Amino acid sequence: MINMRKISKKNNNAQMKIQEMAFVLVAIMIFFGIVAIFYLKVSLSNLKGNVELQRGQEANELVRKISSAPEFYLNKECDGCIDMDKVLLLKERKNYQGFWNLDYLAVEVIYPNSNKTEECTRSNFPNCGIVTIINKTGNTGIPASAFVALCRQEFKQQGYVKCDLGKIYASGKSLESTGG
Amino acid sequence: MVNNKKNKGQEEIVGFVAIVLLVAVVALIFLGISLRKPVDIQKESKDVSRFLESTMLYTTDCAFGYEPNYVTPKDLMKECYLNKGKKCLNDEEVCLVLNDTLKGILDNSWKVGEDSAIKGYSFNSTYSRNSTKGEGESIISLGKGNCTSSSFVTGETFFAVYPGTITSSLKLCY
Repeated sequence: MINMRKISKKNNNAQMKIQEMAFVLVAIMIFFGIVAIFYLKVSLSNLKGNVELQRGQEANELVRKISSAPEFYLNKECDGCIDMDKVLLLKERKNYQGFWNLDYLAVEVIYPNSNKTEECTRSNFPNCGIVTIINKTGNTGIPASAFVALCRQEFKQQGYVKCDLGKIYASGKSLESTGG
Repeated sequence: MVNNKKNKGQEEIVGFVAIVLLVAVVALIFLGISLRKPVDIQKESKDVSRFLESTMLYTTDCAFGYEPNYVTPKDLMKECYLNKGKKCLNDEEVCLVLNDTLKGILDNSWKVGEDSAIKGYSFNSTYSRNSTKGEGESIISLGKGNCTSSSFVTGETFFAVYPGTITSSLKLCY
């Protein structure tokens, strides 16, 4: 009888130990699980940031490509130069509104620009700040942009090509796929 | 009987210490990840390089020889290095015009300040006879704000001036 009690007590003790072990194992598994989730979240957010940066750069490259389209570019010798006389004419042509599948396309004078924000027209050019070629929605968000040289024919003296520093901005569905 | 109990107690303590150590190590890793400094950005930016390329195409108010032979910052850099005292047709010193033009362009293009994302910039233009980076004679150096942080983007452009090259680089600090 005493032996039976002893065996039963031992069994109970063993069961308790197994239960304790099981609980500890489960707790450790949960703990490691939480740590793994946290680590994955941190590394995935870094990856997401890198992808967004890459897409932003691609969108800016695409904008740069738009600036070298025949409708904008100045001549073979000047890669990255925009002909502002062409841009002004382009603004007036309504059939170009859907040509690049963009919602917004503008060219801004950065330097020299004494805080000029006026929209450029034939009458006030070059004493103006921005030429908006396409503005379909009004809400442009953060457009992709690229630095360019804005060149125009000056008729003073014997005539020469004068280049300013500017930026070309674009936004639209065709750029959204690349993050712009 | 007492010895057996003592052994069991020791085993429990060892187990407990092992678990505490394990949890402490994992907690340290956990803490390390969460307190990790933001990743430093140190890379070449196409945008900055494009900016420099476009800047080199800008037409300054300085003419050489006759008007309207207005030159670009590229020509000014070359002249500022080869003939330091040279003057434009309007009697302004070439190096001064270069300095003012580049400063104006940089200040208008990048918003620098404590409240801005860009905390500072550093522009350098150097002439070197060989392509080894970091060596060469300085032509012009411009800077604004705080540019000591380890997060920055850089860009550069270069052109040939026989027998070497003039390299212009811009560093934007975040």
